[in-house]
Amino acid sequence: MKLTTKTSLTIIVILAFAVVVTNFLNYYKYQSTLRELVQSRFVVVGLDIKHAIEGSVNLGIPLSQAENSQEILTRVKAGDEQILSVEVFEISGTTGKRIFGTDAASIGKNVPVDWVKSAERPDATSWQFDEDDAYGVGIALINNFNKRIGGVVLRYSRAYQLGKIDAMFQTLSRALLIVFAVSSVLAFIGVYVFFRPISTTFSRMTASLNSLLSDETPVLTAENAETLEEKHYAEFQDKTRKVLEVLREAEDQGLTSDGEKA
Amino acid sequence: MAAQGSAPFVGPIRVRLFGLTIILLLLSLLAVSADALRQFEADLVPEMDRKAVAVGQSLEKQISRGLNYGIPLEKMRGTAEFLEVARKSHVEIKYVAITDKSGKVLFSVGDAPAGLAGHLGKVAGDGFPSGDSRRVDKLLLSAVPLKAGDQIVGGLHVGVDQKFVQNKLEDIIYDVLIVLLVSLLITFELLLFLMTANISRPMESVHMLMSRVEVGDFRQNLAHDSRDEVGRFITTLNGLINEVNSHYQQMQAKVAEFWSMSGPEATQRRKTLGAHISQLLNRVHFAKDGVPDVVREKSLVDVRTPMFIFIFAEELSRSFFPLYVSELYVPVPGLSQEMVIGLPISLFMLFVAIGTPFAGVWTDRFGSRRIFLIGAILAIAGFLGTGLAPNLYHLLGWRCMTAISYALITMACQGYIVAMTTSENRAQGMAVFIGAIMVAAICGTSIGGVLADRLGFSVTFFLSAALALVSAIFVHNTFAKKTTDPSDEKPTLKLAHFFALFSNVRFAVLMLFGAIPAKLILTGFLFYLTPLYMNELGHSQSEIGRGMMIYFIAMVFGTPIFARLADRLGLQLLPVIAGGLLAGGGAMVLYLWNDTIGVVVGLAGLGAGHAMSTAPLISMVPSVCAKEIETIGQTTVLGVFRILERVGSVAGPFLTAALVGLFGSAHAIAALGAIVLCSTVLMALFFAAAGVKPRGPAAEAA
Repeated sequence: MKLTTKTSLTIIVILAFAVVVTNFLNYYKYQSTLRELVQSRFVVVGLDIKHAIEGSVNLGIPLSQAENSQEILTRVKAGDEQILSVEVFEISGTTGKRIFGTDAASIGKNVPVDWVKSAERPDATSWQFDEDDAYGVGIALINNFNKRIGGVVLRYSRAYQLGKIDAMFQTLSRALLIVFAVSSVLAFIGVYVFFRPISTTFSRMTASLNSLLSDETPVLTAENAETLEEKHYAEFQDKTRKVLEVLREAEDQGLTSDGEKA
Repeated sequence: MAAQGSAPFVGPIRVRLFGLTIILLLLSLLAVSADALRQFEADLVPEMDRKAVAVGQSLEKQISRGLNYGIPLEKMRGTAEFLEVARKSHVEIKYVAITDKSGKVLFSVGDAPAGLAGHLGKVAGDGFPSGDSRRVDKLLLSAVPLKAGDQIVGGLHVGVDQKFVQNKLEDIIYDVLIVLLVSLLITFELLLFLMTANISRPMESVHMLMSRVEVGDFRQNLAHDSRDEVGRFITTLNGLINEVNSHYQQMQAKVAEFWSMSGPEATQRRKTLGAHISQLLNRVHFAKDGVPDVVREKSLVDVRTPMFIFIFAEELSRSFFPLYVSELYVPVPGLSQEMVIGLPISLFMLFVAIGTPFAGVWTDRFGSRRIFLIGAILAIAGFLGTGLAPNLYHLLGWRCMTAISYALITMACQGYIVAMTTSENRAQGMAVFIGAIMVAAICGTSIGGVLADRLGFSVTFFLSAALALVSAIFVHNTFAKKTTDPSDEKPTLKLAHFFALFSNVRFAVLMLFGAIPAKLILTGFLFYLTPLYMNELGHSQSEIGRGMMIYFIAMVFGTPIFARLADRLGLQLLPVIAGGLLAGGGAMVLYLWNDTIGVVVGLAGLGAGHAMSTAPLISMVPSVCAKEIETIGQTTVLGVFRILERVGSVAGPFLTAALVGLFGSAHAIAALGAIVLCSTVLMALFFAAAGVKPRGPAAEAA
């Protein structure tokens, strides 16, 4: 492998490390920002539902009898295609039961224990969770006596976000490849320019050595040596040639003549 | 040993290549980040807009309730406070306003953008179209109509910061800067290796060989593995030397042939050839049997690069290791939770301490290359096992294995340096070694945090394993197969040496009040408690890594400065005392500032203190142990010192854990600082009583 190739590859590997890691940092930031934005939007929607339901509860209507709740949930779901379901559950002891929801089949069933625990956490009014096909936000329902009586849970599409994240990954990858390709070419050109004097010097010295070995006139001499290396080489070549001449001559005499030449 | 970078054109080329890489890195990262910002804005602004509309609609419902009770918009009480609560609940929302139906502002919170009046008038004229966001100055404004019954009585306007996405990307600017810093340090290391291995060192060898040939010495060839321009030249050069030797061999063969013949012709030829040979042998030396010796030049860079990569691998987990242990926590009888979390670090230090003398002996016996490769195999297994460990007990086992690998690899590298240096330039060799460790610590600690934040702890350990493999490949290709120097005297440590040294009160004081506390606070504060405490303060892994980096940066830049200063002023004891006070005092800051600033100040003080005291502390050892050195030798004395100071490394996490249990994290760090501070004061008092001047070498009063 040539010097320029080796050095260029080293720089290119470092460039690849830097741009790939930076791109990953950007990608992860996009992912978290998108998720944060979408989630906070649905928290706003959930808070709206919470205020509406708590309004009824605060008038003295039991949570399970706040009839307009079902209508609100249906309207909210219909207003946003990303929303997969909206549910309201009531806490009873350590369990929670769905009392309203856009999924009629699940009404009356118990909710996961985690939702109840999250709704009862005194230090927060909302929580988030992940499912295989959905993300979700939950908002605690609190009555006039500051008691946690239940929660609103809104599940929204995971596919929507994953689709956007995937598209962004491809977009960023394309940009990365272009930047990487351009910087690699520039690296190669830069390295080639910097190494040209060395490469030329070594190529000339190698060619000259080869001519010395084949008993031809060396291409590099003290007269045409340009660099310090070439000048040093020319001196070396001169002395070596003399030794080689003596050896060749002696060999010729020993093998082919009777020694008169000596 | 080849002189580093003495070929005339290597220095400038390395500088140019480094410059080229910096420019390309900056341009690439700038281009990638600028494109990401453009893409993110295009993609996230609609999402922000949707959220602004959702917030607007939510506020509108509550305001409309008041309107439907017949309260006029302009007379609604507490509206500004209500809007302020909404604005503060969403970081990207910078401005909220309510206008009447003509667009006149009735209530507003946040800074109004320039050109607002014109915009509001226009939106009012259009009937407050919902979902139609417009850019006004630095904001993206969305409107929602406010109705009393079916009548529009005004509008609600929500302004989202257009720079929100940019600000979000700025959150990762420090991470990107860490990537840049690490890339540059890696570039420096790799270019140093590349230029030395491919140009400087071969050029030195070529110069050496050509100079030998110029004086008629044809007895050597150069070893080389590359096929680049330099490699091809060396191949041809070796070919020339072989050719010369081959001709000479043929001549000798011919002479032998003529000796076996009789007659005047043979006698004449014998004479002629004999004359030639005598003439040549007067000024030319040929290889014995026609086969030149193969010379392989070694360089300190051979050891620096793999050491750098291995330490980089080891340091990747530095910023999160105690947190990883706490994830695998299981109760251990007799130990508090804090002690259990500190246990793997203490065990690691213990196994390094135990393994080091053995590793030294094995390196002498089997050679640096073999020991490094064995160490690397153990390290790969250790890192993989640590990443996959299902519980604490497995983790302890894998960490012990990694500790042994650490001992093997560091001793293999030190052995290599010892084999290729003389007593005159050994300190320079060790400086190369320590330099690699410190730079790798900066890179590993900082980037390890960034990686762990995104990829998780286990994947970061797998990356460490991959890096250990890379270091092994480097060593396999660059370390000479035989590196031990049989002529070198190899001192062996005996228990009697420990007793002999401890009977020297000065050595005992230096050890107990100087060296051991320094290691104690290093492992206790930096390795064990910094990740845990910064995590407790709510910092991300990246931030913890950056925080810990402060110590290593202070060490890298401070050590040579303070060492030069101490040498120039002839100081030994004074920097040791000053460094101890600075390290202890820095940590004690946490007694007052138990927050992030306190940690940063503490780490900076610790780093600066250690930078100031580490080298003078070691240089004090020969001064206080002059008598022992005469009998057991300096290497043995320093070996004992190195082993004993590790008592502090082992005890550090345990003692700190106990202190955390008593005082909490911040005050535990302060307590460690107090221990170091008191030890330093006691040491200073002792040496003052012993008549040692703080400005002079410790031996003066002997």
